[in-house]
Amino acid sequence: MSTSGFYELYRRSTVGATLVDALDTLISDGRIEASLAMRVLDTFDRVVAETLKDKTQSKLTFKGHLDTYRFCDDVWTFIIKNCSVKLEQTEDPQGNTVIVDKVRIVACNSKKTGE
Amino acid sequence: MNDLQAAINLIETLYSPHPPSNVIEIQQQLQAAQRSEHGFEFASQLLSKEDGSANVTYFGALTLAVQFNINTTSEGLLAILKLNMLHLMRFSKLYVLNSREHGSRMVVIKKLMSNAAQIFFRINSSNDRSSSLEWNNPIETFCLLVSSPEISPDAFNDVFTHAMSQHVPYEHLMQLINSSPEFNVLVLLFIEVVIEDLVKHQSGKVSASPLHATVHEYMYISSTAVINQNLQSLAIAFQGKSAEKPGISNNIFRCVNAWINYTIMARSKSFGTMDLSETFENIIRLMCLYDSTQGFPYSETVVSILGEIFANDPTILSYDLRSAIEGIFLGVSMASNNETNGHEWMLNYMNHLVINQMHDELKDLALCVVDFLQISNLGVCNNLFTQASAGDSRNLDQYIKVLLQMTNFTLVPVLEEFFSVRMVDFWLDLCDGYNNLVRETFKPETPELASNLFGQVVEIYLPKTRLTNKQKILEEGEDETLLHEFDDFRNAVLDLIESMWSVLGNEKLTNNLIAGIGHLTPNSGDDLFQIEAMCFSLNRLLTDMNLGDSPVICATLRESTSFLTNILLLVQTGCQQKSAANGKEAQILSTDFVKTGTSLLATVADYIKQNDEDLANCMDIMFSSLEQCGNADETDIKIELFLTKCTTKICETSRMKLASYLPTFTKIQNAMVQQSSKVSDFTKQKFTRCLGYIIQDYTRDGPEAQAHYLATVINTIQDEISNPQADRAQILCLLNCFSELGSAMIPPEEPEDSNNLLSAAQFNEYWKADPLHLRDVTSNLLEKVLSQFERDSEFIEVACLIMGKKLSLTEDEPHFLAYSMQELMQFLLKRCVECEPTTGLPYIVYLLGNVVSHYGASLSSQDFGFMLSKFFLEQHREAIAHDPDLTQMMITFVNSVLEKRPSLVIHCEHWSTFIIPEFLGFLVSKERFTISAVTKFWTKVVNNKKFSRHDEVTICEQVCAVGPQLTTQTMGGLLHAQRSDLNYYSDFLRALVARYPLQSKQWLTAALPTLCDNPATHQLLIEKLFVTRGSRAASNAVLEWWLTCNGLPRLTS
Repeated sequence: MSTSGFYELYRRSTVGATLVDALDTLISDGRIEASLAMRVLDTFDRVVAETLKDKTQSKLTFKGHLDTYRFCDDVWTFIIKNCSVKLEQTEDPQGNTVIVDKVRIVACNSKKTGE
Repeated sequence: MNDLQAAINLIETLYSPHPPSNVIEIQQQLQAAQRSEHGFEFASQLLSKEDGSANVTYFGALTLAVQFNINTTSEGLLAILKLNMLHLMRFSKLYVLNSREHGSRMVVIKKLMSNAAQIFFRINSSNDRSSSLEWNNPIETFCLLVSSPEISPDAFNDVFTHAMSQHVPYEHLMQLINSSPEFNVLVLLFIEVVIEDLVKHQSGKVSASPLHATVHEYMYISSTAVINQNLQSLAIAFQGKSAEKPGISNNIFRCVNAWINYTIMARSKSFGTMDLSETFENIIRLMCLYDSTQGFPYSETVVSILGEIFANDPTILSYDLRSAIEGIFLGVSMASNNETNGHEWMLNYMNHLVINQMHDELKDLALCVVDFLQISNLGVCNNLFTQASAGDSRNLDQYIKVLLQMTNFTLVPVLEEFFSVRMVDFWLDLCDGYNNLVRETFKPETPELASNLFGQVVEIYLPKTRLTNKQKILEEGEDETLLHEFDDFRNAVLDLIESMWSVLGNEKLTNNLIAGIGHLTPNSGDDLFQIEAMCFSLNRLLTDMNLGDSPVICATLRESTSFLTNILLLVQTGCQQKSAANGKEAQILSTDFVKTGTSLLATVADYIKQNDEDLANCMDIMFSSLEQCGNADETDIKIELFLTKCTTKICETSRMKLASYLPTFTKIQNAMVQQSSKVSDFTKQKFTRCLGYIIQDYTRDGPEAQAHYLATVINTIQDEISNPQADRAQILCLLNCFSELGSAMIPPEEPEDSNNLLSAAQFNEYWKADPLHLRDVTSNLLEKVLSQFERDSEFIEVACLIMGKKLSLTEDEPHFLAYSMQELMQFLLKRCVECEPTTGLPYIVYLLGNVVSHYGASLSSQDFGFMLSKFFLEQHREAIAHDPDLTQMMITFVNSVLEKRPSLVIHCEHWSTFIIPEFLGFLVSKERFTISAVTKFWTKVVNNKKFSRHDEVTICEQVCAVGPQLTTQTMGGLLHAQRSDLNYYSDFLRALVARYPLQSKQWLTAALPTLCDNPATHQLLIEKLFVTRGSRAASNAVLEWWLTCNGLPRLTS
């Protein structure tokens, strides 16, 4: 978890990784300080978490073979093989089913552990 | 900038409502002045100007902030702090004396407070602890300075130095804040500014433990004393019936919020616990204040504060406080018989919100209460269901009763109330908790209790998910957000019902729903809404069941006489009401009716096929409903789509029973694919697929009869394509219909009729001979179309799909499109010559990949070399080299063969002349797609389990020969790669180091110094790479090296 209290896991998403690459370029070019880059990423962590929580309506369901699961340091990891992912999009009545060989789900606790 | 007046003019221009065009130039001039060595004097002059406007003095405060950021010495810092505090004191005194006249200075005061906070953080942060400066409590210093008698600027130094180290006793502090409301406001504001900035400041620092320790030891005590005193004053003012809410209450609650946020953050970083219990007691007391004249002055604010806490870090409240809140919210405490003071407030507050239709406030209360309940969900679960129960059984009964009442809130969910919406999560968690309990811990009555409880919950939620509620939302004319929220609520209830199935089982849930649908004789719209809600839930329960293997469920379905009739009625009603003339509201509800009905029909397709009459009924209604669709509007299109999907599923499942429909289907399909037909392209294609399913299973009269039907469909498509009126869209749609026909002819994995297996050989022989020449007809048709659209990628795509239909089947499985490898290669080569590489080549290469995969065993390395030449190295070489997507496609093609038949690749003519040198070059590419593919290629080269002994020896020699160059290219590419691409390289490096440990060490030792001068880092990387085993460790080693060589920070905490 970052110092601002939000997980850093979305930094590994395409948009997060691209932001990190862009910040690297700005630091290398001497246009921003590293500390500003850290602030930007902290804000990114917060905004992504809040936006996904508050602004998204799409849902997806998946079915497949649960190959591996583990719970370590308050983080669940599931690896699902031969997975069929069904996207339930409100705007698209056709819906879409995607068949994938492997899905990895990393799930962190949205709240701190209780007493 | 020497002239102060000129600077002031520039500042006023900068902040004017209509800045001039050269505003950037002005900004740059002023910034230069702020950063200059005279910046400090500049700030001092601006702040000291007696007649200075708020803009000018604010700019002075801003200049001090700039100076603070560029000044690193402790002497400089102290001078800035003194100047800052001098003016903060001066402006604050003016405000205290006359807040009306000096109210506009508040923005300057706030900036000066923020500057003071930043300096306080710096003085107390870990890096500056060695300095001689010590400042423990800015709040007390501020109080002393502002309450001091007039001080001349010359005497300020001594006064400030004294105030910095002076402690203000509690009584004195209380006296000061009670001395004037303005003073009190300023103290609250300063606390808020410092604490809010502290939370922001923390996010940028790796470690600030000493600062937090100082805040904990000093500021925490004085701040909470001030806050609690103010909160108590609010309560006293209320009891004194002061008629209106004191204006200061917003300041106090902002301060409370800031402290809560900070305490949560500090707890998460293990800086120690700061107990805010007294503050919480005070705000809870304020929450519960109400009377007929003053209403509920603080309830909304405190509910919102508590809601935030319960959602983020509920354990910040002590157990006792949470018990008290439980009593207030529910009127009963699960674990004890404690007094439950305050519940009367809860009932009155809810009543007040409902009567006054304050739906947003009611929603906030629901969020707060349910989030609170979620905290102790596990405890509730244990108390209810296990022998470890600590509570009084009467209390538990009462507790459950309250929870059920809360769920059964008598307003429209989403539109008017959120309790039932939020309680879905609570019940879901409780149900999951119950399912996870160890059965041995159950009380004897637990299974019955659980089944009763969850049964009641289902009974409560079923009516709430009815579309009558959606209708009310539509009638209110609210925006679409509420509609989406209602749909989300319905889906959440589905999750809940699915979870409850594991407690209630088919007996108490599925069968009840089936019976509910089957025994109802709908007489009104309400009955239909009831049927829809039950169908909606039942569909989820049956989705995962294989009805073919569930005779008990099928028997229940059969007993429910009107089950299918009612679902079909739902579909029919939806189709009848879908016209735009009935209004938008009716259209939305019709769409839901058809969606639910068709989804359930598709789910129970295995049941429908068991009875010819049911099947006939369904097909008739599907056809008649489809007939009513004509692409009229969005609703019409959606409904047609649902009907088509359902028909396709029923045809796929019941193909064996539908043989008698073949002539009818063929006629309808013929009519449907005409250009004049109004049905959508999607329906045309899927209906052709439906027809294909029936033809596929029509084996009883031998292959000739099947071929006859296929020829009829193909002729229809061919005739329509030849129609001079047919435009591009129509021809493309017809080819897609053909492709759907080809897909439907692929035999199912588990054919129902075992005779099909026996006749497979006979059909296979027939299709090899192909007496009706359907393959030739097909390929001629494609050639004819492609002669017109040879560079149109959509046509190339569908043509490749049609030609490759048989490639997913084995040689023994029959299919009418069983083209030989030669025929496929001829087709592909022709397409390759004619196509536009950027858009068409990917489809051609996709089919080529399938050909290689299917006929791999009969291919030689010469064949592979030929493919490489024709498709990549001749005509399209330039295009591939310049297009990263095409480059990736080529590498991926090579990779796929390297993975399955590596000898085809490594012994082909282009291996040493093209693949090795070109793919070495791709390692320094800047394109992620190229890097991803090429690093996989090299990983497969150095480590491939499919290599024969001979391949292994050849590859070993070649890798050793190009090793130094391979390593230099890899590390060069890695050094200049983006951070997000590093893992691709590190995976390859791991493989190289593991496979060629001795050589790779030498190669790395030689290559790294040529890239950059950082011997220690290079050495560390080599050492780490050779001792790490895991992928993550290797990635970290590579990342460390990359960061050091590029001078970049880690960016993660």
